[in-house]
Amino acid sequence: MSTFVNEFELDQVAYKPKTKIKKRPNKLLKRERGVAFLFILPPVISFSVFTVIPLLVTLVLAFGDFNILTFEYKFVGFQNFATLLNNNTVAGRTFLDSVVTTLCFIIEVPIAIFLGLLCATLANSKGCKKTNTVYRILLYLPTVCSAVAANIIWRIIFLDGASPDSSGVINNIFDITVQWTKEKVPLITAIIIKNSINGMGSAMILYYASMCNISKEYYEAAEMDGANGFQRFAHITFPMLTPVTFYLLIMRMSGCLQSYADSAIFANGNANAQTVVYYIWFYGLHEYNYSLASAAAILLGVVIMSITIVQFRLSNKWVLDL
Amino acid sequence: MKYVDETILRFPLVGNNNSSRRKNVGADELTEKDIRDRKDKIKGIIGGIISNLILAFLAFLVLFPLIFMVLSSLRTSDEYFARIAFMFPENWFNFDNYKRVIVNANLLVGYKNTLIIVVAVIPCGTLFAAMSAFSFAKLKLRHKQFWLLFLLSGMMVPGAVLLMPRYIAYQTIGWIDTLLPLIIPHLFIHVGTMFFFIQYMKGIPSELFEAAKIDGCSTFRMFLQIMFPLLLPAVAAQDIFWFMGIWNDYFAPSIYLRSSENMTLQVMMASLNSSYMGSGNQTIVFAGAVLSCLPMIIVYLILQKFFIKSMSIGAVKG
Repeated sequence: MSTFVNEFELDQVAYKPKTKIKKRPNKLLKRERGVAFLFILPPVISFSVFTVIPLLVTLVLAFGDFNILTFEYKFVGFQNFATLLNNNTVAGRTFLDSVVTTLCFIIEVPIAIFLGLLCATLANSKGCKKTNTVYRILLYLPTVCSAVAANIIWRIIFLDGASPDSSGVINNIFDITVQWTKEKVPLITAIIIKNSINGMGSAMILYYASMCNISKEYYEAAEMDGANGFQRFAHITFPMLTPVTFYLLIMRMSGCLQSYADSAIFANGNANAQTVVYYIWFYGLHEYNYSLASAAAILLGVVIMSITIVQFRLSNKWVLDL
Repeated sequence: MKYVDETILRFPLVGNNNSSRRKNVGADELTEKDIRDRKDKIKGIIGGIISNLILAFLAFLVLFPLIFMVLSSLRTSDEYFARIAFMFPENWFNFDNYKRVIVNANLLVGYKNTLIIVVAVIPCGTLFAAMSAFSFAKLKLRHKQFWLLFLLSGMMVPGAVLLMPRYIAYQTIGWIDTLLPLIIPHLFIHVGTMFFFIQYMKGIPSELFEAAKIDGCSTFRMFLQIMFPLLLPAVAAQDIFWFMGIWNDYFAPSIYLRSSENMTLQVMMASLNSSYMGSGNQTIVFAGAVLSCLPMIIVYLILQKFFIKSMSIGAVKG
């Protein structure tokens, strides 16, 4: 026993210097490190120039008063943010309005996800064994079409005219005269309906793919225990799909918060449906009030960054482990 | 016994307690099984019909704008204004609007500009994304974690936040109304693609590269001759979505491009919309919309299996 220990210790002692030598960077390792750094250098430089520096400039702009014509800059602290959150100025009221509108657009996220889940469940059922490929192809089709074209067409579908002949499909089918493209509530409702229908396809494809990955054994065991279809869905399928649901929620939400085409094309710049990004564009590049727009952009950025960080934190399961 | 059976067989209809009971028992067993089977079958068929109907309805909802777009593009202005919502054209082969949109609105210039961006950005961007991903996934890079987090933080920054400084900078160096702001920033970095490639490379065994290193292979050759060929499936999966992203991008091009000879397809569509929607030629816009969607739809229908597979891989892992 004692001899064994001694031998073991001796071994350790004998090998220690060797490992130390190995740890010192030799020529080859140094060269590999150099090449590895060279490989990431173009992205790092490009990222610094086109993202990090503009980000810092946005911060500087947001805390100051900048005039594009004279290039004069004056530090004003939080004054721009105060203007934005003040309901008494025009700029502030418009901004708070745009925040409310953008938040209303988020209603489409759960609807689209629910419809996607419904489609995937139906397509995965026994009755649709032969037809599910067709449905998957068709339901995903609008996702590859451009948002511009989709918005143009949806606007015509929701169009409201003086007579039935000059209004769109919706008003004709339901025989109503709702001002979908003018009044606030119908306009936002129309955008939510449009986005829920458009977003359904990608949610369905994702859900379907992960449903196919759920092991059949769970269902066999559940059937043995006498679980009915609904119980199987509620206690096996849905919990197994949590990562996908979460991913969809985050992605669609951050997409919604950045929507611009809805305001610019579907609502045609109507003041009743301006999103935050549209506000930034309008005050920044249209009215040349760079500082105010930068402050709004910083607020938007903080919200989206915190959502993304939550995603990275909670989604370790399916995100890269460093 | 034998005799009885034979008589029953011969005269099955003759009233006989024994035989009728036997028949009833047989019938009961059969019907019980039958009923269960048939119930299941009918349940299955009805369930199948219902789920198919719901799916067909939802598919119709989703496809309705596309149907409306295609049918309306075949109508003349008079037909269209007579009744906007009634979408069926009188003449199903009336391609007048398409001719006009190509000749009058010069839509082909939009195709050209979009394709210039695609051809410039995607090959170069893919190469640099793959190189940096190789460095992160397989090479001994110092401060790896820091650099990766540094680049990944770019995924969080929304485009609108960088809008004003970029615009001011491009204006001072004269990049406004050129395609350069849409090409240069994306040549060397596409964080999403890089992230996807790192994921994919983690699945490729490191022994390959260790063996190559022992044989004296240089790092760059290792990347070009071993890693890149193995990466090609991921490249294809990622580039198809990249292509789609550039093709359908609207926000950035609409800000940087002004004159019609520099517009990308989507910006051109939007300007077509604003200039023709108020006039009497709205059907031209529908033809333009069809033409702007058509290339992506064709690519999608040809590669649909690949599309759906790539999308689920990319999303669930990345």
